[in-house]
Amino acid sequence: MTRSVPMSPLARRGSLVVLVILLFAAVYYLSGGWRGSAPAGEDVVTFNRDIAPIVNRNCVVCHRPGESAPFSFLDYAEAKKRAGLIAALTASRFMPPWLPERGEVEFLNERGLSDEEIALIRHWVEQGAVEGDPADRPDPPRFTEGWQLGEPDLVIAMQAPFTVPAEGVDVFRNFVLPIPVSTPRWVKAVELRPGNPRVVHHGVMQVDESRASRRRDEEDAEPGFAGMDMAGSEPPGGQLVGWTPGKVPVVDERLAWRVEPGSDLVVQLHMLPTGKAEQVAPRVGLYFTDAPPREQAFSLLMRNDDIDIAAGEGNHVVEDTLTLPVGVRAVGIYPHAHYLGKRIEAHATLPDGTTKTLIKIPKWDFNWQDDYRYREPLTLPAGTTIHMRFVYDNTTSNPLNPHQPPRRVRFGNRSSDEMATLAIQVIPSREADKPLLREALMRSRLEKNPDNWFAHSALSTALATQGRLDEALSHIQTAIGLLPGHPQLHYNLANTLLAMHRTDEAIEGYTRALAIEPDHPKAHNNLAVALQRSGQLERAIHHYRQQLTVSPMNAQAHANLGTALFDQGNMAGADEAFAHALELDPHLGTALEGRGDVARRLGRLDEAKAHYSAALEALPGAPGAHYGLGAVRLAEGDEQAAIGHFREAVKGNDAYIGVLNDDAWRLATHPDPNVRAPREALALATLADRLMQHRVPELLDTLAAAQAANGAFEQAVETLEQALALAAEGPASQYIAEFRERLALYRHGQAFVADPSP
Amino acid sequence: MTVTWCRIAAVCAALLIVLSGCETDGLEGVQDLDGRSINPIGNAGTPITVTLFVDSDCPVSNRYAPEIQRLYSRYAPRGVGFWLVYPDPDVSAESIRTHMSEYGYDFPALRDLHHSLVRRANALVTPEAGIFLADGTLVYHGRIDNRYVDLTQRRAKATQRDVENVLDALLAGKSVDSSWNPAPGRSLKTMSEPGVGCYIRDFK
Repeated sequence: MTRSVPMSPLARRGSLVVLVILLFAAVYYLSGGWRGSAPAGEDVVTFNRDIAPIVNRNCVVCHRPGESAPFSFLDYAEAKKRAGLIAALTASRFMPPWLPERGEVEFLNERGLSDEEIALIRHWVEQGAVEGDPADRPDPPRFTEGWQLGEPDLVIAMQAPFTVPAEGVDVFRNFVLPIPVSTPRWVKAVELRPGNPRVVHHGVMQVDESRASRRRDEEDAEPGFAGMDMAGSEPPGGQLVGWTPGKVPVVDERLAWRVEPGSDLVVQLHMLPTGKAEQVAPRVGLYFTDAPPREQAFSLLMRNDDIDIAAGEGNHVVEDTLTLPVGVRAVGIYPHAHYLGKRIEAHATLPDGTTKTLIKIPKWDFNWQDDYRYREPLTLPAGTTIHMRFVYDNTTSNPLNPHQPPRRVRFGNRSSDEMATLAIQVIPSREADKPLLREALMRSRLEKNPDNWFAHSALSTALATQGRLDEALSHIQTAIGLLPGHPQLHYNLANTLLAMHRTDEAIEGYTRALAIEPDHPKAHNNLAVALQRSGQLERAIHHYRQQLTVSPMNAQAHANLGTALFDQGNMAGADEAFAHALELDPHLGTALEGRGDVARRLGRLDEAKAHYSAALEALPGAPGAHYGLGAVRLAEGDEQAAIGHFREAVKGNDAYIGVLNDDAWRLATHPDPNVRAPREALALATLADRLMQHRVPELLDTLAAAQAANGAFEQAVETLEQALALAAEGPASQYIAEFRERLALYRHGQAFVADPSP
Repeated sequence: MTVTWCRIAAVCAALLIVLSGCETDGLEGVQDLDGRSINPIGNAGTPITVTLFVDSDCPVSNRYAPEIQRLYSRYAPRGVGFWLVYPDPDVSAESIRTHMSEYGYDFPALRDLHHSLVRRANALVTPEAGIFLADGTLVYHGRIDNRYVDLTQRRAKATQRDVENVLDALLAGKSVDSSWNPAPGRSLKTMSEPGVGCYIRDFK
């Protein structure tokens, strides 16, 4: 069937020329010039000797069977088949992918070839991609198959795979994976196995405690939800957890982050259609550590949402600055813009005027975005100003422009919108510096947009953590004014009110949050705490139970229910709740304390001691366990040991002064003479009073009651007179009338006995 | 100076050898998946033939599978012949069948063992198209569309569909631009737009 084609006139005319040229060529070839600048003979560049080491070091981490990149360069035949491609893509520095400019700042795991290596590859290809002597061939690198960090402590998998269509634009999908832990855990590393590496271009993982992501997921039948917006999720513990092909996850025990029961992991995958429909089902491995971290990272998320780029604008600049209120060490950085992004730069101006480059990306490429870790942390003292500068190209000469012809583009989460965010992972020197950083960030956002409800809310939380409750209240109220229907804002308001001891208003706030979101992940619990605090035990128990329908696996919620049942006097119920909590988390300190309290209340002192000791083992220094042990020791008559434990309890949490006082009061004044224990009461009250240096009228009142119960009426009178003198000056003045009544009793040689009605 | 001249001359020589070779060669080593020799171009009964050069391992090539299949579905009923061409001689007929079924290709495929078709169509990368008239004249070669700017950048979607434009023009008997006229009897100029993808020359 083949058909010969006549030689064209041009070819015929050219025949003579060809002959002449061939002659030239032969001479040139023989002179060695054909092989470019490479040396002749045995110095020809070979794969085995010269190229394999470069490829092994830089390429095969991805370019090998089963990994994300196309083609395997582990063997010569495959590499030769792509030799020209390798030469072209290394020469353009597109491969290996690495965006930051080299030089001023060094990152871990920098990828890239030297000019010499690139030239060597070019010569190899020019010389015909020779294999060379097998004896020269280096051993192939060893790779860990499967999980790079070994078998994870917990593997979270998708229920059903997501299907990426055969063609179309890039797919951004956020998969919401509940994290099945029943108790808070410390996570030292996260590893993503994308499942179908050829499809997945990069991934970002965040954690959502709010369920906002879960609700977005439920909006359609497909797994996950679309877009770049990761709903309510946040970088866990301030860490940037990204995945790009070939990246080995970082294990850093110093920076472990805490995952709370009921949280969701949100895995955002950027996927590329491959030409056929592909199934994607990522798996995530979590690696836990028992030790709480020594340092905690903070994600300094700078962003400027004031983006408005006119069509045809080729150099649109978006900037932001932030002055650090405290010193930090920067350990990583993650810049983010979309397809119009052209150039990204960030630098820090230190208080002494010197500048440090944080990152410089001369040619931004959305597809190869990544988070980068500094080789050495950068020290940024308090007063350092961080500048970020993003340049955008919204012209037709930007081929990645999603709009052809260009259109006006503004801020937004869709890939056709634009963003300008720079997440800098920093380590503050003290945990208490974090709210200061958050405050600075949020104030910076509010300067740009005073109506940013989110910034008001986050600022409020930062202020509340600093104990600046009045300011916190004002900002959360502003946030609610801007967005009245958001349950989380009402929840935050209620938390602030609870911290301000405005318990009734807090109860109203939680109730409003729950009216909007009946299965709010935490509001039932906190409402119950408020109710328990205001003595409404029935309602508290109801809401603890509601909390358990929302998060049945939450060990702490079971323990909280136990405490309310305990307060109610339902020892069997309390014990059962604590036991449930311990089934989910055998080391939960509060549940062990709770079981100890139940045993103690039931007079089973040995059992109580065993529980308290276990609690102290699980949670060294746990004040509740110390308190319980103190009480047991006291009942056993070992006053010295008891006082030691009480001291520890108060040292751990000064609220135990109140507990000490309550117990002393109960033992001194209980209407049931079998419960009353004047001697023990006196020991407790004396200790409480001594710890507070005889300055608290309520404690002196209790001490007086204990003295009276022991028959020491003269001392009682003296003590209570002291209390009266102090009360006159302070907030305890409300008790003056009560104090006077009791003083009269003591003067008549009578002890005070409480009213039997509750 | 002499060295530079020598280099230029050497490159020209090599090019001319290739070009003249391509003009004189038959279509040696072009086989269907059952191993039968086939000449897909210059079939009098098919006024227009499109050869589409693909590579089962090249991600750029594979990403075009739906587009290539769509071109087939759209133009085959209008009398245009379509051939899928696998220029990698190491890929077996069996692997090609598997690849085709995975990517949903359902028109005939060829192996081009000695790159005879590659040369006739001036194909440099996968994916790329060659469009031939019934007399074997190559009227277009190169990219399918401009989705890929280069190997490092791709548009969200193509803004110029070259193969589609040429086929529409040919079927309508129109010229595509002022320098090109497909009307019978005129001297024809081969149009081309450089393709972006995996180099076919690496298969040698």
